[in-house]
Amino acid sequence: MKKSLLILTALLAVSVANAQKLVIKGSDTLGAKLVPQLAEEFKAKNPGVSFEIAAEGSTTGITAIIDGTAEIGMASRRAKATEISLAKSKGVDMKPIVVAYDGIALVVNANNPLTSLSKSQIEKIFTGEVTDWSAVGGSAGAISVYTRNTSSGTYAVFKELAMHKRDYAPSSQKMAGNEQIVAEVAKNPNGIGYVGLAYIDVAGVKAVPVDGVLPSEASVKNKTYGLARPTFYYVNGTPGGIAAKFIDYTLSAEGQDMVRKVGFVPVK
Amino acid sequence: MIKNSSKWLALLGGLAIGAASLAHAQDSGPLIDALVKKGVLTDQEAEEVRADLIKDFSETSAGKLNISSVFTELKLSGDARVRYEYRTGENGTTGDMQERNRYRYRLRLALTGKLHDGWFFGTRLEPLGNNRSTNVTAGGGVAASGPFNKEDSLALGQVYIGREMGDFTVTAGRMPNPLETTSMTWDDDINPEGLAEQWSHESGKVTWLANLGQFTYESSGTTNPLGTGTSRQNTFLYVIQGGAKIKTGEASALTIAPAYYGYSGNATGLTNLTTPNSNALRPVGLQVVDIPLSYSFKIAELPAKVWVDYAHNFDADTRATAAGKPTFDGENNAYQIGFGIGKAKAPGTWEAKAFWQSVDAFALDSNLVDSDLFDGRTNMEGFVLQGVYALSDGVSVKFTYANGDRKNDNLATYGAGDIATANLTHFQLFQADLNVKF
Repeated sequence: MKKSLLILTALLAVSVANAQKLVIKGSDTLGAKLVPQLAEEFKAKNPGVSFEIAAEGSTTGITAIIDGTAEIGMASRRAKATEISLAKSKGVDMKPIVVAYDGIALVVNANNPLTSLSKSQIEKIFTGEVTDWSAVGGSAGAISVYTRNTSSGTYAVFKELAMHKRDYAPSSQKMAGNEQIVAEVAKNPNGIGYVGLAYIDVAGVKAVPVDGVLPSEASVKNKTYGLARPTFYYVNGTPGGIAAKFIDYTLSAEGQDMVRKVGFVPVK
Repeated sequence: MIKNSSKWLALLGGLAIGAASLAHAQDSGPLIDALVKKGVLTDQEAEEVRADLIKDFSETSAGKLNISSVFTELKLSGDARVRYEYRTGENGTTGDMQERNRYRYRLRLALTGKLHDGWFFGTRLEPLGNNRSTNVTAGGGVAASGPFNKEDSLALGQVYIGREMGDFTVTAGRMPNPLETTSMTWDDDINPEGLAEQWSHESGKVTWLANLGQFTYESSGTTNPLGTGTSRQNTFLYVIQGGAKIKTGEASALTIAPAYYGYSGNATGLTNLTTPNSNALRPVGLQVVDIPLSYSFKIAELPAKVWVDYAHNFDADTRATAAGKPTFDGENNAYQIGFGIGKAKAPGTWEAKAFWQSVDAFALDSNLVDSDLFDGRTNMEGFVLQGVYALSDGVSVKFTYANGDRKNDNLATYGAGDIATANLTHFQLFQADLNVKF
């Protein structure tokens, strides 16, 4: 009996030691598909590791690194100067790690006859200067604009890349994630929205070329697509332990294959 | 993560120096992007450099400022001035001469900004003097508080919000004067309150302009229109101005901008015209057409300007009657004619101007005319000489001399300045200013 108890205690100790949990928070663009799939593969190779992934927007990921409530913050935008300063004031050495490239694709309903949009037209549509498709070469109809919500990195990056940092039209509808945007645009023949590259192969929507260039792995990588961007993991200083292993895995050939498979553009 | 540390350190150092000189780390963004495109930096290295520059910048004084991202431009500006002033006036009733020596100073501090979509705003803090003075008098208030009394409270001199839409600009609030005008009609310390709409359109050699103003002249306060008392309404000043600036040569232009001034309402805080020695006379009997005309050109590479400002009050008979002088309804014209040369901007440069001014008793709104040059009066005529010399960038000295006489000795000099009489028969002013403008 005593011997059995000892063995049981030893087994429990080993299992507790192996039960490591990695907390990742942030971008919906990364956290809805890519990171969960990377985590599944990683778990398969590292038994005992568990993940807590919360994909509620890049701002929440960067805040989590500043507050120390996550080990990795996913972000589809760069940390703002104010966030980096705040981190520094709290003793957090926030470091970016580029894990994948993405192109922000403009999606319209599959039945929309539109064949291309210029950046200037995009700015006018999303700021509300243009409200009818006929003004940008489409069939007459009131444009329904779908955007991400304000905690989204894509929301901020799109403003910077496509709108000269102007405000979105007050009539624009804010969606929680990429999947909600494509779902709405697929239902609405007059809808337009933007999503990450990983979300364009959905029935009912089509990506529109921007200044004549379609978002693709090649156009994002060679930076000819005007709405391309890097995506990040943010960490505090030099990570160790399971976080470092997961970052290494993300940047490994196997991890980058997954990046491509999910619809992003690998960095290597 | 970055293996080639020496290359990275060299780049970081160079970029940091660049960022510091620009006082903003993010200004290095295009340079970093160019280095990535040329293959000097990888994307990962570039992101680390960006983050490090921001961290370094946040350590600087400027980096600790947190300015809202809604601004596309934010500007801090203003001026400080110290002044010696001598003014003297003759009381026509008693024959006495009154004189005053004053040492004065002022600070005006403005914060203005531009936002997206043509929106803008402006604020300016000024000493709490009055609508036509931003000066604080040294040694003032001694009787109440002893010497070196601090009587220099700051007031909201300007607070306005506006929007530019192509050729069209709308401004609301307490604003810089939006009109083309001269000191004969408007004291330049007055910041009108209300709404202004401005339009300016360039077509070939002509820039057309139109200015409309709806200014709240006096608020009537709470009234009871259904009660037995007299119903009172806010008094408004309405201005309609149109005109053009016509290029007549490489360095010459003619500007003409006729304006109509009309008033409505009957708020009662202002003083009846039968008490002429007041700085707040009712705007009764005022329908003024003012025509400022100027021609700018060059004399031996120096900018020069001649100008005429003529005004006529089409309701002077009503004003004369309200003042108890109905037979003087012909006192309805005012003019200023002057010449200026030079531009005091760069150190060692100068400017000078001289003008003659003649204002009939009932020609203009005495609440708006310049408060210094002829002691804030109508029924005065005389000349003004002014010179400015730039000592350094933003630093200048300015000298002003004015000499005026009562125009019609059968009438009071309406309005009030520092000489305590309604019959100011002779007036002289000398001011020496040291200015810093930033």
